[in-house]
Amino acid sequence: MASVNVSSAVKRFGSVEVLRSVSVDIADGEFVVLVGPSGCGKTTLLRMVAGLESVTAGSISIGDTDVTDLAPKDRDIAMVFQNYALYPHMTVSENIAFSMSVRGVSRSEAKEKIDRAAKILGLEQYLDRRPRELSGGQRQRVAMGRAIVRDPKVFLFDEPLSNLDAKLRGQMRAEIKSLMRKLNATTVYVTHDQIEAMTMADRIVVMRNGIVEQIGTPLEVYDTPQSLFVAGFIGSPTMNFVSGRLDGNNLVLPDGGLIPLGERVQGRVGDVVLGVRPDAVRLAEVGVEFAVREIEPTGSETLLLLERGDIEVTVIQRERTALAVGARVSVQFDARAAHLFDPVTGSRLG
Amino acid sequence: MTALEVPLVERRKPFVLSQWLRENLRYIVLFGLAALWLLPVVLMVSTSLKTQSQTLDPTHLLPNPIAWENYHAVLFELFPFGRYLLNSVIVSALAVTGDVLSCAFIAYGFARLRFPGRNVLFVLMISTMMFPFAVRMIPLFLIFKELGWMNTFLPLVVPSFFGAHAFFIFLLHEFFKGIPGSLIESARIDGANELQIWWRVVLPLSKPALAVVAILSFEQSWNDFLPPLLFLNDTRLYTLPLGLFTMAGNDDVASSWHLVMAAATTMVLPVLIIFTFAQKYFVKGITMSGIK
Repeated sequence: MASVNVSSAVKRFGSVEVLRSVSVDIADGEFVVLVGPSGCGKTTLLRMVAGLESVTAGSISIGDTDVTDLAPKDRDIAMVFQNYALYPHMTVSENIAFSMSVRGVSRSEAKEKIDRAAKILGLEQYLDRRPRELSGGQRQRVAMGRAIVRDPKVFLFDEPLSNLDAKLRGQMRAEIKSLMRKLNATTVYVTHDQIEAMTMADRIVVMRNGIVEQIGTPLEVYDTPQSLFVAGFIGSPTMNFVSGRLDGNNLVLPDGGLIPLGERVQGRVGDVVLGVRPDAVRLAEVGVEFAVREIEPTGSETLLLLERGDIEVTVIQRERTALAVGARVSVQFDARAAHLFDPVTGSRLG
Repeated sequence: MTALEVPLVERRKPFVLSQWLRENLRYIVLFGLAALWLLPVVLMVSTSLKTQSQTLDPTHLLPNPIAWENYHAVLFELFPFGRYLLNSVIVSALAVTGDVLSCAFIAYGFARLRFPGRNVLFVLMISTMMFPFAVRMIPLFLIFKELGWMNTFLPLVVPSFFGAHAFFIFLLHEFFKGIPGSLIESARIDGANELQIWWRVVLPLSKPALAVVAILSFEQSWNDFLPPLLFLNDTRLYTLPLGLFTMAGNDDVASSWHLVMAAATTMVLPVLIIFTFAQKYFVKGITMSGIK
């Protein structure tokens, strides 16, 4: 295992700048998830670490070695692709053995490693099958088996679960996480699914438009998002955003309504965007008036979609509701859990 | 009539000619075309089994009596059929091997490796398809003469090992482009070099396309007439088409169409057999490469 250091990496395709000076330090044995919407550069960054894309500027090192200009095969990494990239004409065991056979590993050693990987992944009875005879989850395991027999310094995953159905995805998520922990493997994992990022990562790297928006543990990113984008991207249902003007202890809404924020905002004046997660908003006897626009029961909890003019707010309620669409409710915002953002730059205030 | 049969009879639709035609027109057309295209083959086989006197009467399609001895004459008496056959097999086998290996090798480079000038080189390579053999004939003759390859199989075989057939390269190039890039990248990460990727990942996945190239290449070199005529003088080196031509030009045989046809049938037979067995691959390879 080894650490990975990406230092001021830039990637340009022609005149398009896909990555603009990205720096990430990944510690030995750490599970880091790169997350962001499509086109944010997360897959490009992963492919640059793998050596499948050249680095326009900056450098990448694995352990003590600068690998910026090394070929993929000389970087000692293993990668699991979104479509698994299993060789269709080889059996499962040949697929797993491929890297060893091109490197000239002895047959007995290879067999031992295949058997161990098959045992870890529960693939023992499938070793003689071909990939097309396997289910999606089994193919996924073969792809991982191919990676773990390599004993690489770094594991790279490129959206490995996006081709699986929701139930299997949840199961494989836990499997990958515990496998990587067991191997104490340095892992870089790309996904666009923030739930995957939250549940699997030691640290999350949130990316947008070729830059890193924030790096932190899942709860750091959730609790103190450094920008409007991160606040909106991480967490489900999405954080509520209300624009207004700070005046003393209150947020004054454009229509004149007041949201009391207490000491949280003491001394601040000016336009801000208030961010409050749906679980920090509650219905109360007194508060800001909203109308119920839609009710979404999920069973364990109920989502209330509220509106007041242009302002929309989602509330999560643990208890079931007797409200009907159109009802008028009063809402209080938990000031301690409120986030304030600059409406122009989108960055966090205080 | 039993009770069970009644509904069957009632369900039968009345015969309407126009509807029947609409449903079967394509088969009628296809059948007609097939018959048209098969006619020369049928005539060839039929003539090959006639006696000389019967050949003058083409109205009788079926030979009577059947003259099997024509084949005996062709195979063992009139000309050294066995030697020509052997020559043809040697030349074709080498040409097919060369074409498949070299064209797949070159096509992989064009399809999967990035290097400066790739597109220009590719267009240049493709444009060589525009020059018919008649144009290249004299320069090739001079080159091979300079090399001292006259009267050997080398001019018929060696070019195949150097990707002489741009069309095959083009065909494989299109096929290789369809192989998912992640397979090749995965192999690259697994530590394989380009040669190993080509041999162990790309070629096994391209069997249908390679089969198409092999069949086309075989057909081409098996039927090739002008190059052997140009480069071979020694009759012992003649390939079948050349041998057949000399036989047909021979005064003794010239009017013996039954013998010429028997020889022609014998020559076509291997191609026919190979096509029959390889048809599945052939169709698959052509549709998968997106070329029709």
